[in-house]
Amino acid sequence: MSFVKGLKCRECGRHYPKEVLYVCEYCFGPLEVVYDYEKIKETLTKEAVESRPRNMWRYRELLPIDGKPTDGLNSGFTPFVEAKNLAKALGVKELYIKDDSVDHPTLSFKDRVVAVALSKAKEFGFNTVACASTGNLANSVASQAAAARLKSYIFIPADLEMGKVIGTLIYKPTLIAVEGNYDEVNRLCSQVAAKYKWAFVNINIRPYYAEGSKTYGYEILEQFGWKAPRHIVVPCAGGSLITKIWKAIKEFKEVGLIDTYKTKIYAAQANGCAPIVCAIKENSDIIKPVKPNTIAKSLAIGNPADGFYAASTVRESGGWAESVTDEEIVDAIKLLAQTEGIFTETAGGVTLGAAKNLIESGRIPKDESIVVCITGNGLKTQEAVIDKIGNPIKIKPTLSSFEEKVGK
Amino acid sequence: MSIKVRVPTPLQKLTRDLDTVECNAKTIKDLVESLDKDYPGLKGRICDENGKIRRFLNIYVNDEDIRFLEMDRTELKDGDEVSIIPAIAGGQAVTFVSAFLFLSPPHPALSPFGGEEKGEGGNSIIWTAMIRHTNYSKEGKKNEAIR
Repeated sequence: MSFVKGLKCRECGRHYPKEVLYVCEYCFGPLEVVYDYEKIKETLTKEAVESRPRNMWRYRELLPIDGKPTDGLNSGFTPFVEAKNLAKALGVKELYIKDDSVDHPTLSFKDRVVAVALSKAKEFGFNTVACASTGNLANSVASQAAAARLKSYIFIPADLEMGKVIGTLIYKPTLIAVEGNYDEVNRLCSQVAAKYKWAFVNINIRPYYAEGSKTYGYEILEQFGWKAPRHIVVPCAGGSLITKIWKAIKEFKEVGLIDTYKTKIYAAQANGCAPIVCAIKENSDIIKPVKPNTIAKSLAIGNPADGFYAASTVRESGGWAESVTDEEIVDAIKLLAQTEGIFTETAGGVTLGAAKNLIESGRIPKDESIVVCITGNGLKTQEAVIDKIGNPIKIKPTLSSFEEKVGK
Repeated sequence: MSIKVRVPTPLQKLTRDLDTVECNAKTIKDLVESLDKDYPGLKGRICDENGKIRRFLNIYVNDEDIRFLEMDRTELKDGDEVSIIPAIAGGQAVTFVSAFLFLSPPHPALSPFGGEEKGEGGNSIIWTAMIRHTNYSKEGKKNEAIR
């Protein structure tokens, strides 16, 4: 049963049928899925959701597939950690980590979008999926395509971290490492997508794919007790996740799953690639593309597709934006690991680093609920910290050597 | 003053199927007005109801995005080349680039400037050096040379 009415241009509002479309042919704006919320209200109640399996498909009515979900059946419903030690370290009262560093199967929030994209690609009759990726999406498309018995073509910048390359190759996709940055990879993929009949998850089925990110937002609301936290800090690359978290909050209000919200949304980027943060701080409607230069490679998108909407989301919610240096990224990765035992990737370092700065500057008050979005796993970006965490203490296999080198 | 304007596929219905048109204009703003006189309706597609260039259309003057210049106040001179490119490229929106990129079949097409390696598991890793040339703006020239 489908609750999808069709697609609608985010810019000019023109309506389109639910087909493999993604750009408005009149004004070139991106298309977005439109739902029948009146019908959704009838079946999507708190009791119904709570009775369902603990995965992202428990919010199925608000996801853009027509039939039964076929992919990512174990994705989502990741831990929502009350981070007491970290709260103390930052001097705040109430802090939570939404921890997608342990999403199934590939340890990042991309497992959510890919679950929707593959389910939808099969409904459209595709047998080959593809993507342009900074790494996490590559891992997830390769993995879930293998499980779904689909062919996959994966395009990445050639300078990605080894963990992300290995974490893709193991599933035996066709992996194409392009000598160029992500924006160049993406541009190439737009051209490939126009030529080949593949489901490019983040290009020609992007309107559907992107909806998967909403489940990260729904889970925050459900796990916070069916209410909305006051502040959410979100990492921005292409800018899609932040807009979808905001959409998730509005939809839950629309269908009556939360009563109200006063949530402010904050965008986090690295100094070396901060087009969205700059636009917000300069109060500009224009997202000026940049050439990325940061260790946070998963966020290194200089020309973000949803940059305008990401900035609009922050403004509309009354939030703000912050960027951080590479040193701050590493410090924040270490801080999260050493306070909460969670090892996040560089993107998580960006988000926590930005949250720390926003708290210190008074932008985020210390006595209100704060959620920090951790979207990826540190084991994939070990290069970022390898020289900054010390070394093991080497000893001989004797008690005396132990006592000499380590002491009491 | 003659300025060459490259028109994306979706707008070519309005330019009598021409992918390149010429016009006279001192600025980008002028150029839009001038195009609309020759090809009525074009302004409504390029600009929103407030006369601002649509957010998801990028305009390049000789390969430089006007967001880095003076936006629609960017001045033009004789011989300049202006490219109008949908930001979310691909699909029906792709124009000048595709002929160049896909002269050959899929894998060889990706490797005329690079090599191909076989990974351990039989995964094909294709390293290519050509991508640097695939900016639409630059591609216009490249493409022309090949045609």
